[in-house]
Amino acid sequence: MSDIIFEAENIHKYFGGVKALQGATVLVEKGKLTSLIGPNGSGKSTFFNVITGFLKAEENSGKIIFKKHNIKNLPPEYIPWLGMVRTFQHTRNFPQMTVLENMLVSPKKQVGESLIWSFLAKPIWQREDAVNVKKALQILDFLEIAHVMDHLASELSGGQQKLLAIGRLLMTAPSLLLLDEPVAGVNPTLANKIFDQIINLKEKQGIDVLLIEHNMDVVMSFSDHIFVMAEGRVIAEGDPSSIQKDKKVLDAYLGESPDEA
Amino acid sequence: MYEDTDIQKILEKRIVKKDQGYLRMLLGLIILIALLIIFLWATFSSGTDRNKQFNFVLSSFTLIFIYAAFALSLNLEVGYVGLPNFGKIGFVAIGAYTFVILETTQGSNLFVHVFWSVIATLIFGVLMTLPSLRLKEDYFAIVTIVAGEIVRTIVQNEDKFGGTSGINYVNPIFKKYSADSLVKHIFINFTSFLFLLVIVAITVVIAIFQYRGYLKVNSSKRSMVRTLENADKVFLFFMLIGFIMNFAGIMDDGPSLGLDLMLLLTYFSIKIAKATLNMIVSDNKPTTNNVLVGISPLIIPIISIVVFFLLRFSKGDTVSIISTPKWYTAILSMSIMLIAYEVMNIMDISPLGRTLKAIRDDDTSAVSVGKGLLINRLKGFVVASFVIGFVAPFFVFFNAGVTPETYLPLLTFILYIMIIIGGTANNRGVVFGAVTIELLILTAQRLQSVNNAFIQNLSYPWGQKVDPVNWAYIITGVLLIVFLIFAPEGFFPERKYNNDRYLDDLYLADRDDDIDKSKFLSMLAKASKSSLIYGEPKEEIPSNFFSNLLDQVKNKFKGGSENE
Ligand SMILES: Nc1ncnc2c1ncn2[C@@H]1O[C@H](COP(=O)(O)OP(=O)(O)OP(=O)(O)O)[C@@H](O)[C@H]1O
Ligand SMILES: [Mg+2]
Repeated sequence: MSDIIFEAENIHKYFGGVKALQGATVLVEKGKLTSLIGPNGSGKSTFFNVITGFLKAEENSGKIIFKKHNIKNLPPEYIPWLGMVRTFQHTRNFPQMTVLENMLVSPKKQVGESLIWSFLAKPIWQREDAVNVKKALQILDFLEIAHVMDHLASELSGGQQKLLAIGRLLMTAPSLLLLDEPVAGVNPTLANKIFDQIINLKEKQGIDVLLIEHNMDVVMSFSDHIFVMAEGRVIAEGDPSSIQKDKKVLDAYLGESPDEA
Repeated sequence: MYEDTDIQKILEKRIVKKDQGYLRMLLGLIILIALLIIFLWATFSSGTDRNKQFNFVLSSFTLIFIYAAFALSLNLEVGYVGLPNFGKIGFVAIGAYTFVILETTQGSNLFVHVFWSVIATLIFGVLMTLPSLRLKEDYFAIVTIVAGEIVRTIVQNEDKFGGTSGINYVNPIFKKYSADSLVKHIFINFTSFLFLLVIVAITVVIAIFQYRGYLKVNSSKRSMVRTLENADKVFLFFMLIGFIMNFAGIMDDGPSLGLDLMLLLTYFSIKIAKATLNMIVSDNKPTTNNVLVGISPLIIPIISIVVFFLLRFSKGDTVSIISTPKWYTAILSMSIMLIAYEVMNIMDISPLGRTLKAIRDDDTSAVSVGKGLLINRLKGFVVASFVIGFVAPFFVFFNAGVTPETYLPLLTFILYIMIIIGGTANNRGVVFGAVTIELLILTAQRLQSVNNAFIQNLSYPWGQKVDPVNWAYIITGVLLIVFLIFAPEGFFPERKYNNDRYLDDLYLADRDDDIDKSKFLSMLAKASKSSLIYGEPKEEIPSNFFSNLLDQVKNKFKGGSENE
C-alpha cells in the first residue's frame, strides 16, 4: 500500500512499573484526517513522544516508518527534517521572542544558522529571512494572529498560543502534523475555526494530520479515520460511525457496558 | 491558499508595541558620566607624578576594555545560549597560560601563539558544552565552576606552569621600543593624515555604492541609515589596519598618537551619525535609545582628547608624559573589544542568534522544529571561546605575565554582575555594565589615596576610617541584589517587541533576480548552499561528518528519558 505515509507497529514504552504503551499500532493514510482518542492516561501523548524521538521506544517494539524512512532510533531533531512535526499538549513556544521571530526559527537549513556563513554571507541570509518573513506573515494571517506579530509569545492568550504553535510547524513545510489536543481550553467558536483551518491545510496544502482530541463532537465530525487507545493498546479503529457503535470503546470510556449506544 | 495574501494588507493590521525604559538608560549614562568625572578627578588629584597618573588612567581603560570583551563573551553563553558558565575565568586561564608557555618556551611569535591560545580555549569550550546535554542549568553551573577551579589548581601546583608565583612575561613590543620612541608625534603628521584621508575616502566610496543600491527601494533617509550601518564596520576594518601600521612604524618615521585618536574619533562619529539619523528617520521606533546609546561611546575619545590637551598645555615635559607604551595597550584592547562587540552583534541579529535564543527559551520546542541542541550550543560556545582565546593574550600583556591568583572565581562573578546590571542579551548593555562596574572599583582604589582632606578624613562614628574600596564592593553587591529583584533585565534590557528589522528588509523577498544579476551574490549563495537557488531543502536526514560524530558523542552522553 503506497498511500500509507506513517506506520508505527507494536510500540512499547514503560516508565518503571507503568506500562504506558503496550503494543500500540497506528497507521496514517495519505489524505485522511486520522484521530487518536482514548481516556486520560491511555498513552496517547506518550505515543507521540515515542514516535517523534523524544522518548526511546522499548527494545521489543516494532518498526516506526515515516515515508519509507525507519525513524525508530532517530534523534528527535532529525524527524522534522523528514517532514513530520508535532505540537505539545502543553503549548510550548519561545516566550521571550516576538510572534514573528517565533515563526522564523522554524525553517530548515537556514544559511544564517551556520557558524561560518552567519558571518560571511549576510546578504544571503538577509534575503532568506525576507522570504521567510513573507511566508510567516501569510501564515500568521491565515491563522488570524497577524495583528499580534510584534507581541512576545508569552503575551498571547492561550488560544493564540496554540495557533502560534501550529504556525511554527507550518513554517517547517511539513507533510504530517501531529497535533496533541490543539483546541483544549479554546472556546468552541475558535475551536471550530481552528478545525476548519486544519481541514483547509489538509485539503489545499496536502498536509496530513494525526490528531489527539477529547472533544468527541469535533472528532466525529472532522475525522476520516479513528484509532481508540486504552491502557497503551489500540482497542478499536475505523471510521467515525463504526467507532461510535463499537462496544469496546464505550467500555473503555465508561468502564462498563451501557444498554444502548 | 495563504501564499496569495497581500502582504501590505497584513501589515496594516499590525499593532506596534514600543520598547519602554529610556529613562533607565538615561539614568545609567548619567551614573556612568558622573563616575568618569569622579574617577578622573580622583586620579589627577592623588600624588603629583603626572606620568604615573596618566599611566593609571590608560591602564584602567585597558583593563576595562578587556573585561568588557570577557563580559561580551560570557553574555553570549548566558544570555543567548542560556547556559550559565560560572567557570569563565578557567577559559581565560587556559588561553593565557597556553600563550605564555608557548611564548616563553618556543620563542616569541605573537600571531602563532595567539592562534594556539584560541585553539586551546576552543577545545576547552567544546568539552565544557558536552555536559550541558545531561545536566540541568544549576548543575551545569556547578560543573563549570569546578572545571574553572581545576584549571587554576593545576597551574598553581604544577611547577611546569610556574606554580604559585606564575610566569613573568613582558610584551615583546615594549622590549622592542623604548618608551620615547613609541610616540614620536603627538599630533598627526603628513603621511598619517594622508592615510586617514585615503581610508575615509574608501569608506565613503563604498558607502555611496551601497546607498545607491538601497535608494532603489527605500526612502533616502532610511537608505542613509542602512548605509551608515555598514560604513562603521568598513571603517572599523581600516581603522584596525591603521592601528597596526601606525604601531609597526610603517606609516612614517614613528608612531603617531594623533592618528590613533583621529581614527577613533572618525569611527565614533560614524556611529553617532548613524544613531542620530536613526532617530530622525524612525517614526515608530524607540528613538531616545538610539541617540543615547550612539553617543555614549563618544565618552572614551572625548576623555582621551581632554586629558591629552590638559597635558599638552600643562607645565612639564608633555612628550615624555605622553610617550608611554600604555597608549598602545589601551588602544589595542579597545580595538579587540570593538571586534568582539561586532562579532557579538552579528550573533545577535543573525538566524544563528535567533536559534540560540529559541533554545534558551524552550529547548524541547526548539528540538521539535529540528534545531539540534548540542550542535547549536557548540556554535555559541565556539564563538564565545574564540573571543576569550583571542583576548586572553592581551590580558597577559596587561598583567605582565600569569599568576594563579589572577584567575580566581571572583572575576567570573564580577563579569556576571557586569552583564546583569548592564542587561543580559544586550551587547551595548554589557559593555555599559562592564565599564560602569570596573570604573566603580577603580575609582574607589583611587579615592583611597586622593589628596583631599574631606575624603581622607572620612570616618565612621566609631572612629574607623572609611575605606572606599570596601564600599565599592558593597555598592556593587547591593546593586546586584536590587537589580535582580526589581529590574532583572538591567539598565539596557534585551531588545524585544521590535520586528522592524525584519519588515524593513521585506522588499528583498521580491527581488529574486538580484542573485542572478550579481556575480558576488550568486557565488555566495552557491557556496553557502542557500535555498534561494537550490530551492526548499529536501526531506532527508541531514548527514555529514560532524553531525555523525556528534550523534555518537550524544548517544554516549544522553540518558534514556527526556521528558517533554
Ligand atoms: N515521563 C513520565 N514518567 C512516568 N510516567 C509517565 C510519564 N509520562 C507519562 N506517564 C504515564 O504514562 C501514562 C500515559 O500518559 P499519557 O500522557 O500518554 O496519557 P494521555 O493519553 O496523553 O492522557 P491525556 O488524555 O490525559 O493527555 C500515564 O499513566 C502517565 O502517568
Ligand atoms: Mg496527553
